[in-house]
Amino acid sequence: MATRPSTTSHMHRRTQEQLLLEYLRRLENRREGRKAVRINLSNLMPINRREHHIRAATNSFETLVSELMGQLFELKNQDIFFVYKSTAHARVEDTVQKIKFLFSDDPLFDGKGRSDEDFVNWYDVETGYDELFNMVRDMGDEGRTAKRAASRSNVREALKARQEHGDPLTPEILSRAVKALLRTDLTSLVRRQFVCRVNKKLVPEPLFSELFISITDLRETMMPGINITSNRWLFQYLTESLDKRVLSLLSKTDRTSFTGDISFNVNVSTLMSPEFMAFDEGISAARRGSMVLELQKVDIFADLGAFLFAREFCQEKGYRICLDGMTYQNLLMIDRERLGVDYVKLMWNHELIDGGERMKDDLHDMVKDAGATKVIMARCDNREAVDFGRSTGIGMFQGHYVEHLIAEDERRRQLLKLKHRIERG
Amino acid sequence: MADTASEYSGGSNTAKSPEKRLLDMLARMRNNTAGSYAVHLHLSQLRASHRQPHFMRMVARSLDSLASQQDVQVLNFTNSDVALLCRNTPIDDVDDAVFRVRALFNEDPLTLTDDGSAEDHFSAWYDLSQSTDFKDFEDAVSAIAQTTEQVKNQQADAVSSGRASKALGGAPLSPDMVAGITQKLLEARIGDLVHRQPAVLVGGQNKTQQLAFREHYIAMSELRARIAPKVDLFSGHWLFQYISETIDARVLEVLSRLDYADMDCPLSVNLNVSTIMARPFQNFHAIVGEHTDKVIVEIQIIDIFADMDGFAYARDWLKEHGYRVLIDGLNPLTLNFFNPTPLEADFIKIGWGPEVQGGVDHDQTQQIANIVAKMPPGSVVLARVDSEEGVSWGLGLGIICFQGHFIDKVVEKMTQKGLIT
Repeated sequence: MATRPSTTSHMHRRTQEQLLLEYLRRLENRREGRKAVRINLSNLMPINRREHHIRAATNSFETLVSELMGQLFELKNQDIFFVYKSTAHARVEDTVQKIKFLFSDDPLFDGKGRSDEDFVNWYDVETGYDELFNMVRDMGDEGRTAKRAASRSNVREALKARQEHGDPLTPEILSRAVKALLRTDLTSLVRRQFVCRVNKKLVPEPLFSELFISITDLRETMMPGINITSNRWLFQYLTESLDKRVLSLLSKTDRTSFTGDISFNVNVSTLMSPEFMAFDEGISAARRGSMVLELQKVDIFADLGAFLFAREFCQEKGYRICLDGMTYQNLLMIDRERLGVDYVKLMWNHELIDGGERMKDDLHDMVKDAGATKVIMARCDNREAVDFGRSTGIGMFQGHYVEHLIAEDERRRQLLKLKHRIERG
Repeated sequence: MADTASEYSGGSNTAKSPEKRLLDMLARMRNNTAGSYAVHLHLSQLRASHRQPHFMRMVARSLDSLASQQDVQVLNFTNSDVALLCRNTPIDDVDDAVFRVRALFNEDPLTLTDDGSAEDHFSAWYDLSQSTDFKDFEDAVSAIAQTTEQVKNQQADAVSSGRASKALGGAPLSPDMVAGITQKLLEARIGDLVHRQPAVLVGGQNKTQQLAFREHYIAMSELRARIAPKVDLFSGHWLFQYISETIDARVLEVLSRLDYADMDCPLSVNLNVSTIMARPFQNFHAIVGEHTDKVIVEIQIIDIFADMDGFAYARDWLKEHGYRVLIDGLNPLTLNFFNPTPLEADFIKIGWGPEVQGGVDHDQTQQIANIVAKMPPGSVVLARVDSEEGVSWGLGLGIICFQGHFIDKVVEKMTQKGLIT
């Protein structure tokens, strides 16, 4: 359960200059075929530099990053630095052009002919390595002095940054956390997000809701200052303990808040534990039929034999099984039909669109093979995700955007009610 | 119903075993067998991995609905077999329950035979109103009771002679033990625990054999004896994976002392993705220098699934620098559910392990043959080959690279004859 590590931008902002410097240092002996670009968002008007602007700009590099064509650094002053393979140069130029377009109404582009250099600087890592390296090193120094100054004036911000980045999770802390978990009531940390059928008119119809523990809040409550997800294996161990706490939450039948069909994350080992047997014994057959168990691929393939056994056991009892955390690449490799799961969750990622027609056609075929009632597109943050999903035949969606659609739908209903009342009155 | 797990650990010595109790029941009902029948589930013949207590616990749970009926007795034998003793219970009810349990073990060769057929090894039905069936069943139960008694005595011996921790597997690994274990791992001498095992290419018309590479690995049982003799390091996946990151660093230290310029045959080593992109491997990289073609990095499939992007990055980095990448931790079962070719590794390694005891079914074999056909010759390694049977099975699928105890012996002989230096 609860594998939703926070990815706030604060997490890295503190050390981005240093990371960039380290990265360049590593490139020293293999600088061939690398280029870099700096986008000076700091030269834009402050009104154009709000968080969502910066996010829009950095998001446009997402595909290049996910294809490992380059590394993105968000500097303290909000500038973006992208070091990339020369083979991607044309695409990087396109991306920069798009970003420029985003801010075309900024006075920086008022046509006085100086805008380009103020906004974008291009570097050839291969030939201009030393110059670039020195510039970045100096930048790091500036960053440090700036931070020192800032920390005086804004202790709260600095504390917050440290909390969100945190010290790495160690086995000792894990051990304490696991023990503390037994005494902690997690009810207030439970979040829910709906999986909905979404039609052409973008009207959502909830099918079930996923219950999960907010990892950010869990950390705040139990291990402030610790980066829980810093080691994936220790984190995975922690999720086994969380599983059991969630089972005990769910088995308290008087808890009316968990109504309707629900899903939650579990490890295979949890399904085979005495705790799950007790949970299963405590709920009615009908309730089992309303539950979807979400499993991660790493967990399934860690012991496939155990998974197949547990799946058979659970499905026979009426639970449905969902394979969580799939990417396009995973779908190509993993035979979900043989795995015998009821649902597959495909994580929305902009690269699905950037993959072009071929990826889209592949996906369309896979959805068709699996059946439209099997594939859920999760992490839908915007309309684009839902539109794309629908175009490949996917009918079920989850994510912030879907939550937004639910809220909109609710408001529309309220307005309609009000209108009827007014008409009648 | 009794908790199978507790019966597993032996129970108390004075209480009667379930087998003995069943024999008593049978003795009592000998003259009143009308409407009685029994079903014997031969779960003791499942693969060892399927016979673990947590599996048996779920079997018990699947039979709960039956056990709650008055006219059915469910007996969980010490050897993990299960017997159902029924009187006038509708056959369909019992049959359904038996089928449910059978379905749980769909991947086990024990269930390959047709349900209810004469050669069905999974379950046997006895009509107890027939005296021949009654006797057969009684004999089967007595035989189990006897072996159980023997095993129990052996276990008692083991405990008294101080081999208990080995026999019982040790305490499960928990987070509070990890720091101590990693510390010991950092301090312990491990050079002598690094063993080598050759992988051999068999093939060509003249049946020549040639060393492909030598895997350098730590014998885990020896390592455990040295750093944590009383702990079951493998009781869960995740903490062991965590510890393996420290093992990586130590192994790389040992491998850094080798001379890569004069190495006749490449070596392979198992590493975590996180190790490759961190200091331990980068230090090693400096020592290997330009001889990166002498090193094959083995990466476990569980590590790849944990972080696919991280793997892709490490793989590209390794290949870019001349290393080769091998995907380890596959077996005929996993390959039936997942196709590793998009991972773009130079080698994949399939374990001929306990999972394939009792054979691999046709579908699985076909799937593996398809994957082998898609990869360059010699890039699929069949490991853990301990008999000639494994080699012929592999050759039949187009696999020409082998590793395992059987291969060790072959190489030893060849070395004696001077065929391999």
